[in-house]
Amino acid sequence: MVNTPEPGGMQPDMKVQIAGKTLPNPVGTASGTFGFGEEFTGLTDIESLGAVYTKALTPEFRPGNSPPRLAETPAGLINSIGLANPGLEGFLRDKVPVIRKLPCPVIVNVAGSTKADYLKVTETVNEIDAVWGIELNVSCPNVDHGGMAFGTDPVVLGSLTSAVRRLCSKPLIVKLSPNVTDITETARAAEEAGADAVSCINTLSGMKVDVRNRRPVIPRGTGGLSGPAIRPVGVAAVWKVSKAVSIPVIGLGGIAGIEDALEYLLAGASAIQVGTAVFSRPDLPGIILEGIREYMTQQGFGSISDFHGYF
Amino acid sequence: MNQDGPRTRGVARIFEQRSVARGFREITLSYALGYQGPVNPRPGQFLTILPHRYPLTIMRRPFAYSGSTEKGFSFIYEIRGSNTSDLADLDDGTQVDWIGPLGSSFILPSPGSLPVLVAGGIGVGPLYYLARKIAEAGMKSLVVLGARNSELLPHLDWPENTELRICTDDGSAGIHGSVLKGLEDVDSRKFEHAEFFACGPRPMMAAVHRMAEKSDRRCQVSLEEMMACGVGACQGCAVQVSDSDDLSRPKFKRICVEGPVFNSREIVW
Repeated sequence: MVNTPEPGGMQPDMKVQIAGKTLPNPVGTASGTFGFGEEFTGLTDIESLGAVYTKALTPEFRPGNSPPRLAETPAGLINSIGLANPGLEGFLRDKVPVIRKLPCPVIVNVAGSTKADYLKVTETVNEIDAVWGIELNVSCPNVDHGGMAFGTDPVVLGSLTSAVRRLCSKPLIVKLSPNVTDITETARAAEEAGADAVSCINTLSGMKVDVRNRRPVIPRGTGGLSGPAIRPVGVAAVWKVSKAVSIPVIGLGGIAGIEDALEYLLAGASAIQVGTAVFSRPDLPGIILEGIREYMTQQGFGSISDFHGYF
Repeated sequence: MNQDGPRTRGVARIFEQRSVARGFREITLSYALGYQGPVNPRPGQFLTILPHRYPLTIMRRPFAYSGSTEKGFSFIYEIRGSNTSDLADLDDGTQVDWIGPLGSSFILPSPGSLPVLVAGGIGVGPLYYLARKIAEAGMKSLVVLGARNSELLPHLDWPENTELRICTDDGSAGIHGSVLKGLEDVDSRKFEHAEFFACGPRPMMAAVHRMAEKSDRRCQVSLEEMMACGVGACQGCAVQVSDSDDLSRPKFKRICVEGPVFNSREIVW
């Protein structure tokens, strides 16, 4: 069924509501692909972004993993960055002044090795007015401790989310790992523990072997696979999760064009994030936003909620 | 190393491509009509281009500038995989999506010094550009060029006052041996005022670094690593650097922003 376009070409309402707060539009940049918001200055219109999801932040400075940290695969990219980040001290000193100047909402991606780590970062970040919300990173596949371990067991995830929830008065988004048997279980655990939204999916565990030297390209063996290669997995996850929970679902994984974003929205996402494709086409989020707007206008949808989760 | 400066993203047209050795090509691109962006990339800086088979190939490809005019720029590439082989097949006039100039550049040699440029394989691109900038400054360079064999030796128009030493692994041209052999033969008194610039395979750069360190001369190297964003966001192109403050934990720098040109003493070889 296609709605009749409204006469006079009314501008569709692009706003997205999460926990009573508003994002100006549904198109954000995924954590780990957009630094802390300043790196792409001059190459993209940051003002048009629905949100910047920052690089993961841990209490302590982390140098990251030994190189090589990247491997390219068909329509995909394996990364093993290892949560390289400036830590709370560096974040407060160097990144918060940048975030204050960004003309779009900033959602800080919070990570750690222990529950105490997550709580420490949440407590600090929650006090920063310029931060719109928190995205809990329980799905990083590239570290020895914490990371994905918090995101694959629903009970552990629920316990961590509740604890963070108590310290977080901003919108709390839990980023789900696809490296589980049933992603709806972890999604439900996050919702029951008080998450305001879930984002899915983080990277899939992947590996590339250097056949000439007979060893994995990434020194740790496996890394996180992103890019168009994982898009069908992400769309399926969003479809399943959006039917299992009643909180908003933010879709990501392999979005590299307008139709990709529409797939996610139609499958149930209230918002989306563009990640790996931003590296190659920094202006893609703005192009996707305009594409969604055009689609809505042509199809006669007045707001995102009119058509997301269409089937 | 020299850093910063504006960078831009644009669409350029292929002006011409030519083969410079077997499997090595130099491509020249023209800025788009009415282009208003930066036109002065420095030797050592690089650009990235969007592969034609994007998004099947998801990452941009980084290339060091081998030349620049107010009309456009060039880089030398090696046909190594499907994307560089696509690039070689593109007709003149084809549009290419590029971002540049990116990264740090070589600090030009100080007056009175002898610039020694050591290039291995595809590492010749940025040094070819550097040699011409050095010549423009009225200085003479010693260029030591290494290749596996004579067919792989790039044919380039080096500035007139360049002393060129060719080295091939199989002895099919020039000195029989690596660039290090080529350097050994140089009168050691010359090195008293040398400043080294190296780009090529990592073991080669490490060896040039050690040679420079031994004679207490400055050595700048241009590094390469897999790169996703090219602007410092993803931290994928890390290189381990020495950190005198704390030797117990590794410290990394991003090749795309703090590099690709580093003082060789910074790098953990």
